[in-house]
Amino acid sequence: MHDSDTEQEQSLLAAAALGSLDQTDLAALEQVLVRSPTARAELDQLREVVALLPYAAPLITPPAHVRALLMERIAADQAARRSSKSASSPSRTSRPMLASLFSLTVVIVLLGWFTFTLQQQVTAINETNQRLLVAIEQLQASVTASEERQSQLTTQLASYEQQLARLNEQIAQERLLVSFVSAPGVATRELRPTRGDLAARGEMYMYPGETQAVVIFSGLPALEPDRVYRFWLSDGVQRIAAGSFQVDATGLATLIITAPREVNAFTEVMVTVEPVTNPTPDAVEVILTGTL
Amino acid sequence: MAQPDNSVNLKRLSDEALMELVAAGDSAALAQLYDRHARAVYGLALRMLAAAEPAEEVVQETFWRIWKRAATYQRNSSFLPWMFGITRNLCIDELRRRQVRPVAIGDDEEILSVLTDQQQNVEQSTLEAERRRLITSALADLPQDQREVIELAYFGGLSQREIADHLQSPLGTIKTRIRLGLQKLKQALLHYGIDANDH
Repeated sequence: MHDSDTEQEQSLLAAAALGSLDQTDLAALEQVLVRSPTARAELDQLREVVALLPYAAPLITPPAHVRALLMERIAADQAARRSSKSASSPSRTSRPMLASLFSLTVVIVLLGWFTFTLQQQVTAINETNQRLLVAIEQLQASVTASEERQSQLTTQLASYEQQLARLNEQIAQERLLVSFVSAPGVATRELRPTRGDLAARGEMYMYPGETQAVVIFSGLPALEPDRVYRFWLSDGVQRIAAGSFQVDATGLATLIITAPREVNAFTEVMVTVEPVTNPTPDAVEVILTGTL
Repeated sequence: MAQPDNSVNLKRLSDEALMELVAAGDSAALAQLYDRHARAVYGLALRMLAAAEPAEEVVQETFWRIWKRAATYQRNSSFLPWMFGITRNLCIDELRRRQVRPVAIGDDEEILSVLTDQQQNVEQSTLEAERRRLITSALADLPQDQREVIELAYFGGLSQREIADHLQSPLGTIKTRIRLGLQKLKQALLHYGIDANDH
């Protein structure tokens, strides 16, 4: 290597160390540094020399306000760092608060959701209750109607039972009458009207030695509701009431009598018209009479 | 119980140890670095800018950048070259922003003589002051034409071509002066046993 080349490299290194290298020389410097470790070491040494040049400048105290302004600027920067730090990472005291707020929010949301669900359930239950109340009212109305119907049916049944009882009694009486009338050995006695204008009559069927007898009336006029026909047995000494009766619309009536002793022990029978409650044979009219 | 004086403890720490505290956000450590080196920074800024107000702004901006860039500072490197690098770059930016030529050699001596720290005499008794004196002496011992180009390059922030234009000298001449001047300065500092990392 020629001396001129060495001097050129040294100039590149010196200018590079001082920071005064022109842009056009940068490529040449890089080639030198890449090629020569000695050049790299020399550059480091020259840089250390240049680093000492500031000591050639005098020491001069800057005005006090320079320091004050700097420290104010740094204090502001520290405050900004702290605020930025606290903003980016919540403090320990704020974390529980945030956690509490979050928990409270969750509880409120859950309570709201729970309340909403309950309200929906309550609404559904109320609707069901309304439907049940309507159904109950309908059932109660139906039960009332059924009870009324049952009461009517009960009354009707009782009426039917009474009618049936009467019919049964009537049937029994009819059977008795038939058995009396159709039985062999029956004796018949006729009752005749006491007045000529009365077309009524009676037939008495009896058995000698028996206390019961049957009398069939016809042609008798219907009486006022407070009056009845009364049948009497007489033995010539005293008169004994043996039963009372009404006639139907056709003027017919049947009377089964039970005498205190055998019927053939009496000698006379008669029918009177009397008040329902106060039989007074001496003061009443005899309209039919017969002998036994 | 009385708390220990933190400022006293900080004064005992090296620049590199203080930078660790600054990186952790300790403004007191930065204040300690300011109190320790603001005069050197302000002197360098005045030397380069030859004006008090922009130099004051450079001082404030230098320590502001130390504060903001402390995390990028390499712990195994020396603090002062890093700090002076910041100051010099700020001054060069200011010079380029002003689009003015650096003051000629000697033009700044007047303002520097006015502003020169009265405490400088106190510093004379320290090793720091001795080194500062030797470096100044080594630079002053250079031939005037070599010292001039080195000062224009370093304190003026000019490139070799700009120096050639400024001095109206051939570029090759400027390169030679820079090469020779820096080599002599290196030899002189080696002779004085001064190393950039030895402080």
